[in-house]
Amino acid sequence: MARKSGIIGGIIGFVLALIAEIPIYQNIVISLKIYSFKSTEFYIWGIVLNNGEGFGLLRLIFPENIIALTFWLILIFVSFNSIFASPKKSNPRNSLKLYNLNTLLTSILLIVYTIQIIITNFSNIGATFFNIGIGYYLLALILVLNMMSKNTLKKGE
Amino acid sequence: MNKFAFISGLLTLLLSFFQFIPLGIIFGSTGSMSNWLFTYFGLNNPFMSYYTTISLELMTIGNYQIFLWGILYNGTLYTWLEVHMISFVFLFLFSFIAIITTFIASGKENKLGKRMAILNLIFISVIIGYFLVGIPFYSNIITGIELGYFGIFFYLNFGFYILLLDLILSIISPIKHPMN
Repeated sequence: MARKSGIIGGIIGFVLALIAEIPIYQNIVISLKIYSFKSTEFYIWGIVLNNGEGFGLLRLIFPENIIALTFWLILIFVSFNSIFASPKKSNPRNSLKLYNLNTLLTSILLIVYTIQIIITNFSNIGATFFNIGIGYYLLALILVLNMMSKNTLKKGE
Repeated sequence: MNKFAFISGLLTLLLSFFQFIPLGIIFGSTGSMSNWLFTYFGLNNPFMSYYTTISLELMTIGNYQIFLWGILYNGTLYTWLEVHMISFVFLFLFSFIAIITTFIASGKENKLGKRMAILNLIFISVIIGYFLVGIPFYSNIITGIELGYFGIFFYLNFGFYILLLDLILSIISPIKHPMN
């Protein structure tokens, strides 16, 4: 049977890489921001300013654009890997390598964003959890789902 | 499944039929996509809008944006069929055939699949070759601007780099093709 946790992790990755908000009911929306700072929202794909104007990762200044593009491509890569490593037919040895790679890359992303969040909230640490967005937790969920898939794969062997 | 061929096919599909990749998608009844859906299909609610985009144009010269499917001039779309027949064949038709071959290659784990992966590599190589040689050659006819053979490198855009990635994947795909 396909490892569902891996496939779900991949889908969440694509959602984070492309989508800003998911509507739930009427005016209730889930914002997929990683964190916010002085009413600017930071997403994997770019930023949204206070006035609702959005900037993509390529419109940022150098070298931020290259760094942001690298992070975005890493997330796309992790999402593809996560989906491709999960079908029943996939080679277990290759899948294990991909899950390990995914765990490493997602951990790097999480560490970098954690450092950014700590730096931006340094003057008011109490506001940290208020400023962290659902995107950050979903990134952590991708890491957990990849680790779960890896464990399932190891148990299956 | 040949995953390299599959991703190569997805990239060719994006370049051949899309103007951009929307980023920061939001769902609602406003925005250019919703307006387009309302104008042409009468659908008004709810559909997606977006904050920003990654453009898939291969190059930009003056007011001309060149894609695999055609050109955009001052906000008006023209397909290669309307502008230049040779470019239509080498850029759009070849990429369309490349999409078909690459998806067959990704699904078939046998000799046919491998042949299709090789065919895809040939098509992508021809597309890149034509773009680098043919577009500067015909640039005066297409855009009215004379381009030197090395001049094209000053105008390349994000789509070209995606096409290069596509070429790299299509080189790997026949080598790594799984055989049952």
